[in-house]
Amino acid sequence: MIHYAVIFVLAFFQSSFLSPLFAPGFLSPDLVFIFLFTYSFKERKDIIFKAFFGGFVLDVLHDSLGLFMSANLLSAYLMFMFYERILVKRLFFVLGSLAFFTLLNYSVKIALMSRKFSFELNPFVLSLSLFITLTLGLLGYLLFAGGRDEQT
Amino acid sequence: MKRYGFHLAFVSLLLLSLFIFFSDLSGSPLLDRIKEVSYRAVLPVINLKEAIFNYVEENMSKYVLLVNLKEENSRLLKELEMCKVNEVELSTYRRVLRRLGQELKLDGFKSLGGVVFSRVVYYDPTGLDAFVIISAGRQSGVSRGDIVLSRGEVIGTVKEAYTATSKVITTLNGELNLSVLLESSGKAYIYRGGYPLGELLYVNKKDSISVGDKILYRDPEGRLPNFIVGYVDRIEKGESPFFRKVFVKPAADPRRSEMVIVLAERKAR
Repeated sequence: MIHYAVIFVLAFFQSSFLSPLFAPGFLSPDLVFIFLFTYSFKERKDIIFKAFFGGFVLDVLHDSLGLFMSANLLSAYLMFMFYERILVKRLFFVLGSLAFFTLLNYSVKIALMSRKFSFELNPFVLSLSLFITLTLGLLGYLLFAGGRDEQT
Repeated sequence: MKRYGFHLAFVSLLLLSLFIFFSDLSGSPLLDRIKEVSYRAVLPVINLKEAIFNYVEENMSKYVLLVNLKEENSRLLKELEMCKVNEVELSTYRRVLRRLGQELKLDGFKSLGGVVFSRVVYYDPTGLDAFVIISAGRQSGVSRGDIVLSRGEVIGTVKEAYTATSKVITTLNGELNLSVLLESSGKAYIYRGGYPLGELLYVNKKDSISVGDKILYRDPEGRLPNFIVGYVDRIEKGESPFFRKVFVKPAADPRRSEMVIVLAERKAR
C-alpha cells in the first residue's frame, strides 16, 4: 500500500511542480516512470497495477486520460520481462537499459499525442527532461535498488 | 497460470488505456455523471494541484521577465555610460564653439534651447499622418514653431501648443514649410510637406540634384544641427521654364514614433 501512496505523491509533485516548467506538460521528467524503473530492480510485484495506478493519477491530473497509463504500462511490462531474464547490477548496464526504457516511454507518449493533437516539440525541453529523468533514474537505482555490483 | 494472468492483465489494461485515449471517453457526455462524481471526490487534490501549478508557472514567468530585465538593464547602463561620455564631449565642443563664436564675433550664436521629451498620444485618424498630438505642451516649455524630432529625423513642427499637449504638423502635411538645404551642394531650399511625398520649391533647372540626395533641416539662426528631413525621390521637368519639380520622401514615419524630442525655444520648466 505504501508504494501506491508514494506513486500518488510522485505523480502529484510531477503534475504540479514539473509540468509548468516543461512545455508541453506531458514531456516533464516522469517521476512515476523512475519509480517503476527502480522498483523493477527490487521486487517487481504487481508492477503492472502500480504502473496502471500511476498512469491513471497522472492522466487525471494532466487531463489526458489514457496517455500516461499506456506509456507506463508498456514500459513497466517490458522492464519486467527484461529484468526477469537479464539482471546485471552494473552501472553501465543500468544506465544503458534506463536510457532505452526512458526513450521508449517518451517515444510512446510523443507518438500517442501526435496522433491526436498538434504540439510544438522543443528539442531543448525534451533533452533537458530526458537528462533529468536519466539522472534521477540512476540516483533512484543507487539509493533504493542497492547499487552493489552483482549479476543474476 | 499465474504467468498467464500477468500477461492477460497487461494486455487488457493496455487495450483499455489505448481505448480510453483514442475514444475521447473523458469527453463523452455518457460519462458526465460518473466524471462528475469522481471529480467531486478528487476535486480538493485537483484544486491544490492547479493552485501549485499556477503559482509555479507565474513565478517562472516572473523569473524569466526578471532575467530579461536584468539584460535590458545592463544594456541600458552601457548606453548611459556612453551618453555620459558623449555629454562631456559635447559640452567641451559647445564651449569651444562659444569661444570661437565670440572670437569671430558671430551674431546670434546661442546654445540649444530646452530639449523636451514627449510621448505621441494621438495619430491622424484620416491615415494621411498629417499631424500627431504629443503629451508636452506650454507647461513643458513647448511653443508654436518648435522643431520635433524622432531618432534624429524631423517629424514636423509644433502647430499649436496647448497647456499639456501640442499639435505637431508632420513633414507629410501640405501646411508645413521648412527651410532646408541639399547635403550634396549645400544650397538652401524651401521644403513643403505633402502626402505621400513632399516637395522642394524653386529648384533651378541648372542646380545639380539627383535622386537619393539627402535633404537636411536648415535653421535660419544657425543654432540647430542639420537634422534629416528626407531624401530626393523623384525629379520632374515642371511647368515653369525655370524650375524643376523635386519630390522628397520624408525620412521620419510619424506612425513609428512613440517618443519624440521637441527642441523648445525657451528652457523647459
